[in-house]
Amino acid sequence: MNVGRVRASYAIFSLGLVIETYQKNSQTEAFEADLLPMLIQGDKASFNRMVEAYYGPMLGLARSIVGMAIADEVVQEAWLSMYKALPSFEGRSSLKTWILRITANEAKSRLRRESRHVSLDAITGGETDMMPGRFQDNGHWSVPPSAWHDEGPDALLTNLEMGDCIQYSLNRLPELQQAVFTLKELEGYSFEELCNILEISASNARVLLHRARICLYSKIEHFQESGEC
Amino acid sequence: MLKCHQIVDQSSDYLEHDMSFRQRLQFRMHLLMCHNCRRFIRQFKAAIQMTKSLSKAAVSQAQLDVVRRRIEALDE
Repeated sequence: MNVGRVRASYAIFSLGLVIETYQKNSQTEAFEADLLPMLIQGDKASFNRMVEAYYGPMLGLARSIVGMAIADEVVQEAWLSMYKALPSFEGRSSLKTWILRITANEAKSRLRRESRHVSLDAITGGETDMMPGRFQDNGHWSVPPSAWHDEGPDALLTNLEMGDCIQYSLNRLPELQQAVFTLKELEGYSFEELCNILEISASNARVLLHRARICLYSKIEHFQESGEC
Repeated sequence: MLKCHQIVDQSSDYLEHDMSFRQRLQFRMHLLMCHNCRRFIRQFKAAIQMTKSLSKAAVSQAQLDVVRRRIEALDE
């Protein structure tokens, strides 16, 4: 594909995502400003509106930490914890950030109870291990990136099989990588907000996100070369 | 002069504009001279944009109803 067209396609696509994220954040603020006073008074209808609005992001985050099988239970428990703690909500963060933090803590506790551990080990180790066998000892490519058939984000998106493959690969990333990726790339949180939700440092969050991106990049590259997941 | 593996390691920082002017200059100097890394950065950007559009978790009415019932049970 023509590089100029790819760049133009990328620029339009990026601008669309920036506008979408800005609109979402403004909508969230307005939604919460409207909802919060009623929630604190114990209004059931407002609580139901909140459940409808935030169940999805909570489920996405819980899945990234505990997996599909028990994510729903974790979210249910998080709602109960949140309902009990609601009168003490101080508004230091947005309601959504607060709820997601409760969800993340519930998911981490569940992992501990299941005698598994959150894979913080993914943070340690050499950066170049992310693409093993791709570099010579002198640091230059031994297996350089292959030219993709489709380089534009729109063209990549229309490949449904590849989309399924990337979704499958995302679900198999280490827990914290998935959680950081979900919050940053799918929910549009800033590093500051996602560090607050997951209680990790900014530097760890950046490493985890980069590793997740490189892993998914490698999957797309593999799919482009072989047509297989 | 940066090596290709450093370009890969720092690529998210570059795309997030999370590096100093000097680091950015070094990064771009390498890109000027290395077509493999230019291709990597171009495709890495496209991959990031594509993955931002992965589907979010779908929620059924039944799941929402369970929460409502459990919350109502707490109040009884």
